[in-house]
Amino acid sequence: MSDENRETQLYELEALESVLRENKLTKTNDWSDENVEIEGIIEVGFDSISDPKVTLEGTSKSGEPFSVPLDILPPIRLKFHLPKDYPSSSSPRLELQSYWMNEKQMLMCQDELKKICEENMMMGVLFLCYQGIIDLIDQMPTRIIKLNEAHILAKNEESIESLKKKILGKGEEAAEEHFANTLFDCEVCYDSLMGSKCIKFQPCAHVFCKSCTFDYYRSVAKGVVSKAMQCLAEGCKSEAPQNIVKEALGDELYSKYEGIMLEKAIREMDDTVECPRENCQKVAYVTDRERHLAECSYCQFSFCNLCKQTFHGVSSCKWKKGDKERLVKDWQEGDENTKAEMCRQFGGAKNVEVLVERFLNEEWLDSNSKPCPKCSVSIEKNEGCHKMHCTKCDTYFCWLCNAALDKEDPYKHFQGDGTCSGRLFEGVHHFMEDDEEEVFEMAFDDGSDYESDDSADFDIEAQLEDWLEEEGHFDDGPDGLRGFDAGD
Amino acid sequence: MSATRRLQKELGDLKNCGVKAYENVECEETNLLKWTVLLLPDKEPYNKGAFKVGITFPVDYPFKPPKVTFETKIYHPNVDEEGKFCLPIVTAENWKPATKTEQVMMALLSLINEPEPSHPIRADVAEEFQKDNKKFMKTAEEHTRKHAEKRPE
Repeated sequence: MSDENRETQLYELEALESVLRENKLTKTNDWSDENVEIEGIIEVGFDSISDPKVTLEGTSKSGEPFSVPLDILPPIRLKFHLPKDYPSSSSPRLELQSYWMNEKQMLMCQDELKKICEENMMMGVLFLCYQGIIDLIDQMPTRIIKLNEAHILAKNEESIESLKKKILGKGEEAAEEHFANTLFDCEVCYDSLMGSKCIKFQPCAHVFCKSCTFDYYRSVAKGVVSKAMQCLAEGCKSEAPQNIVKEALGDELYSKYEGIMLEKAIREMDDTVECPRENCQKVAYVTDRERHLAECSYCQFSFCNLCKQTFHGVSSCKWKKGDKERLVKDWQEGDENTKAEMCRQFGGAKNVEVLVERFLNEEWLDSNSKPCPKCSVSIEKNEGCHKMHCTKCDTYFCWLCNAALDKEDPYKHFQGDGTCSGRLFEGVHHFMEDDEEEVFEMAFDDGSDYESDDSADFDIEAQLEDWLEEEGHFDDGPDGLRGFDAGD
Repeated sequence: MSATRRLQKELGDLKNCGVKAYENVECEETNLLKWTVLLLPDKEPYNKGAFKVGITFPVDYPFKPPKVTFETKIYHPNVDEEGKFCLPIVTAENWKPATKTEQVMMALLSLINEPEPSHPIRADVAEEFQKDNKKFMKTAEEHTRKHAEKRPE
């Protein structure tokens, strides 16, 4: 009798497995061992009754209420244990497991299962139990799960948060499975295909077949227009997940496409400029804003972002004649388009402003300062005699004729019978002397305090000085004079 | 090849859609990739005639957009003398594989019915449309009478 029961049980389970979808019937012990009573789990899913929509409600531990829409009711697990004398003279032992059912629903289900077993004595009842649960849940009037009332909460040490997480995970799984087993019409090829061969875009929920989607993405990646991989529906802006694009294009085409899109994105950013080399013109990064150092990511050309020539370190830009004037004029008087183009060319409005300001300064310096005869740095004289000293390269020179002077005795130049002889203080005015207009005109030669021989004030370009100090390019010499460290 | 099935279905749909704005949807006997459609705008000054539109589908349709041109001359700010025009829905940048020829035809019809003088292809016609609409209407109507096809009964 027992052998016969075993055979009947295995036959019932085989039939059940073929009726249920994949992986819905799980063995929890070895069914081939005749000494062990068969145990297993049936997963009862509800993807066939996804209407009306399900909402998961509750209050979290912190007292915050939540309400989450679910596509499908999370499945219920039906654990079964088949005694040796099932089905001939006993019923299976059944246990229900659910993350979401409340006490009342649980009792209703248990009663239903009991009833089914009693009404079908001596018969295989597992499928009837499975169907019974689905029918019962289907009759449930509302689809709102009040998670705080869940049966499992009272019984277990499960927290509401972890329970919510589990339900959402299960819900997603169930929804995915439901999608995979639903038939869709692809609006591109007009084929009808199972969801498993389709892609559902988010958040639009448009569905197209994988084959069309992949063909389209390959066509886009090989085309001339670099555009984002979007949903295939007219006007829809949903973007495809990266893994889908990757799968569609394959490694080689994907990395090529990615490179093009990255370059496109970078071009729209502020920190990048175009490489000035005519046969390159790829994306270059401004790597050091202070020094305007830019480097091409492709050909590694390091250039000055201002004058677009090879990077020249601390030396000032060498502009072609007229370029500076044109740039200042374009920025001050140009229309929106001109300005936008300039921003693009120099990597942002800030850079152009720096440049314009620098040119305006230079213009001012040109008319108010003189270059050191050795290092060309602009030096403004605001007081004192005409014997100048450049703190940058430690050179003495004459303000009048711009000649470099003898370090040992710079005053010799103003003696003897040279062109500057006797003119050490020429044109140097005392305060409150002469008429005001003249004082104003000669403001930069104004030397009320010429008691100090060596009182010329040097104005080296501020930015340069900052940088040199920052980077430690100046060494403070023993005599306190700051000398330029040419070794760097 | 997905193009054949798709084109056959689209051709059938377009022929039987019952929209009065276009008729005589035909494709070349030996080439499913070449269609002609007779466009029937319902607004003045184009509602006195019919305009033949040629549609050429690329081999990799629907992954690339079709090329659409007027084969009948039309006096319109957005259509040039050779019948070319700029319709965003069929540009390489905006094209989507699920876009149907019917949608393209509807977009073209609305461009013809409601000219966009701010994005003209023929600047002179656009200027006339804006500054001397009366003259524009007259010229366009005459042009339609002279060049357009007869509207089917």
